[in-house]
Amino acid sequence: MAVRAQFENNNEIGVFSKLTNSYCLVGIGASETFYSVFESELSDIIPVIHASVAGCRIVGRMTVGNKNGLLLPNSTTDTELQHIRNSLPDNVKVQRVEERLSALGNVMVCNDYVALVHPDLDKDTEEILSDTLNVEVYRQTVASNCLVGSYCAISNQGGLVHPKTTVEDLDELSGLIQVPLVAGTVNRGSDVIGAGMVVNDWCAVCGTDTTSTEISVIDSIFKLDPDGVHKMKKLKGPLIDSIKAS
Amino acid sequence: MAGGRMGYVRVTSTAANIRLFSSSLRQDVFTMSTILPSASKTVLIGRPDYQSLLDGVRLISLGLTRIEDTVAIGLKNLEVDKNYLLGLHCTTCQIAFELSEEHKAHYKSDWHRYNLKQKIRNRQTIDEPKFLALENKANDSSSSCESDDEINAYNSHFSINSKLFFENNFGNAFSVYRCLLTNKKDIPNEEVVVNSLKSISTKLMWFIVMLGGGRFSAAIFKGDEVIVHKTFHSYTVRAKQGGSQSTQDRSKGGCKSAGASLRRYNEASQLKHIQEILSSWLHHIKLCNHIFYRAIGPNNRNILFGGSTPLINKNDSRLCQIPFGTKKATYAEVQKVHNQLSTVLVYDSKDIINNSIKNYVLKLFKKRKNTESRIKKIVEKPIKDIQNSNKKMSENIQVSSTSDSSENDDENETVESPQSKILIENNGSVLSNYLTNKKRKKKKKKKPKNTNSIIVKCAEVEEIKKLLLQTIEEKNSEALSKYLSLEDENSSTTKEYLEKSLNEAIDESNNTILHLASTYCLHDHIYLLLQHGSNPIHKNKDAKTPYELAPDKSTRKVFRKFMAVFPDKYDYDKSRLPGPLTEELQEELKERKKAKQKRAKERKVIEELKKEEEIQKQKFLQLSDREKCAIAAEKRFMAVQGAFKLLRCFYCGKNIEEKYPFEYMDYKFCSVQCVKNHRQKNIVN
Repeated sequence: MAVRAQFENNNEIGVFSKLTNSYCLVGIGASETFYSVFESELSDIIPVIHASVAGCRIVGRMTVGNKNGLLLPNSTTDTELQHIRNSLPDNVKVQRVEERLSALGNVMVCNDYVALVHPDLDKDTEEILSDTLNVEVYRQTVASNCLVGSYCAISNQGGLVHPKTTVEDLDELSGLIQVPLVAGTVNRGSDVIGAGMVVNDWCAVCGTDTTSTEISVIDSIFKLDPDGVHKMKKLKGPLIDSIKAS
Repeated sequence: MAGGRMGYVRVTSTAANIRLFSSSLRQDVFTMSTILPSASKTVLIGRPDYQSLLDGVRLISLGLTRIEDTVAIGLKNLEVDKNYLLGLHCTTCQIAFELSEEHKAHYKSDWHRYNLKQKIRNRQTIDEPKFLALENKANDSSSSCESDDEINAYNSHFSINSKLFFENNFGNAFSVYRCLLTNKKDIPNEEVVVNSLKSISTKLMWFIVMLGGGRFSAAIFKGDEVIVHKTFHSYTVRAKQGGSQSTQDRSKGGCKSAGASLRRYNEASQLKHIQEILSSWLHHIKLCNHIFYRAIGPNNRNILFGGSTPLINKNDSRLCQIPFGTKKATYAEVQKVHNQLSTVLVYDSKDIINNSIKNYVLKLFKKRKNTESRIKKIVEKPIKDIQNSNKKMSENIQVSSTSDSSENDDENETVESPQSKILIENNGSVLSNYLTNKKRKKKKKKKPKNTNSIIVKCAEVEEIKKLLLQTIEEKNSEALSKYLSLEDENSSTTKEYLEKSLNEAIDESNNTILHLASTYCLHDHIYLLLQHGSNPIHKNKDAKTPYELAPDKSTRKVFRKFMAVFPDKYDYDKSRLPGPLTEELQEELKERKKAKQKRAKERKVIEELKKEEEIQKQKFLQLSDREKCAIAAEKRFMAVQGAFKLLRCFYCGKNIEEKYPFEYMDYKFCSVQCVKNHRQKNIVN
């Protein structure tokens, strides 16, 4: 099930963290409560790395990555790069890219197989992206917004996109990414999905404002808790029987 | 919830896809007949079996134009198209795909990128032919008109929607010409169409009139029965020229020939004749339910609809053009039109139609893709034509030169077409043969008439080229120099030939002799050819000068050396030579090379020293701490004695002779880090 967290009274979890299937980056200098959310969920499976990019804590918006690799903007300092490289698993490639649109997390979004990118992205960056992260790259907009990274969150199981995405666009995007998509919100009606939450194949973290309806949409589209649903179904039968009997 | 929402998503977007298909379908009438499979049976309107078709009849979405209708009907057809329309479309470019590979490839295309950027900037997106045209315009302004024409052809050719498709309760699908059911361009709604379909058998009084090329044919039908008909032909079309006489008169002024006046008279009488016929049929025409006409061109249309009292009102709601191509106006053709219009094609199921339409859309997609390559072909074709004509010309030259004399005959057997690079190997004697022949020819040269002289000249040039080529093939520079010097001594006309042959293309990729010499790295040849007037400025088909073709440095040097000796002989800038290679420059280069080698040597020595140091370091590190202490002590002792031994860091083995070392327990280190590491290691131990 998706968990809720807060970064210094801020609900935009996707801004301060980056979650993939093989590592997790979190911004430095937050409270221990924030870190413990991630560490309790992930630390025995994948490394949780405390990092900064160009001295900023907004690692989620500055970087883009999946299980195969991580792209950092050109403004990343050498020490930061070295630190991240040392902390990541050996099979994850780290690459710094010279891109005019330096908030990489805002202009690209990817799962382990497909990436959507801003239409104006540099061709070289596109190439580096597909080589480093092993993904098919498509230039596309989400609900007529170029900032595809801000307005959607995708994993290998499913994806959540901007609430105003038209049904045709949804269909087209799900045809491209080959996962089911749904239009929705996080953090009590916020449309910046990518900034509001992080997700990988088995875990999601969103802001404390997120309503339970939003959580249930997230759980079902990202298939986060198949056991839980199952449990409920199993429970339902005997429960109703017992009610009938009494 | 997510699941429910997703279901909804699929449904509506499918409808959107259908809209896409129907819009492309609407475009093509003529290929429509070819894309549909042959009908399982045909039924004529008004016959008893027609009525049986109408049980529970409803429209199929295919031939529709209104978006709302297509969406509504598309929903019904969801079951059929579910597999087909699985999100494989691009809303930006308004195109649908059958295969996901095509879909993915589309996102990499420049067209998609262009449209995406247009969309972001709130501008109109464009379709692919237009984009290709735009791209071509950017690349080359001349080829763009071709694709523009193509687009126009597309639009005019595709703009009619001729048939409507229905299905009934028996699962049959059938098609009816839409002009029989409704006259409006938009279809009002399904109910109206179905109603008119049902009532059509009571409205079988049709008037069909065809007009064109001086021919007139008209008939009024009631069901299958012909009430009246009339066909006649008058001589109005200008023989062999085409076009009517009146058009010709209007554009170029009246001609006074007998034929012209005859045609003028015939046109007038034809008009009068038609007016008479139609006015006598007026009471029949009033009763007709439909009027189908074919009148191409303003002249013909004028006859029907023009004048102060037009024969047929232009705004008559019954009026309709014949919705397919017809042959010249004859009574048989009118009957054929009637037959075709009243025929209903019945298919076993609507799936057959759907499938064939899928194929058609795919074809259309491929066709669009091909337009690019087609444009390329069009550009390439003229080049090929020119080459072919060149080839023919050179063959002609040979033929004519063989007819000149019997001696030439022998020689031409040894000379092959200039296009084939193959040369006969053992032709050492050819050169001398050629020279002796030439002397004989010179005497003859005065004999041929003026008309032949150009041909002879060409032949001469070809021959010289052949010989030059041969020297290149044999890599025999002596033969070349001998030959060139011999030529120099000859008269001015031969010199002219020589110059021409040196500077003309000798193979199909427009290479001159100098290009070949350069590609084969024949240094002596290059120098000789340059000396004798072979201009290095000429470019081959790939726009390369001989200098650029040279594969190695030494060959390029030959060109530059020549430039140094003859700085003003050719335009070296255009030949793309970087500059002359003078003696001083060569010297300088040599010195630079020497200096480089020296530096490399020094570097090697330094590296060796470093390696030595590394070995020493490793040796030192392998010693135990006690031994290291011993060495340090020995060092101190030696220092007292005035001898020399290196002091090293106990942890990393670095030379700390000049430094003031960090110490603990007699151990000496280069840095705090080393101290720390050493301590930690000892604690572990």
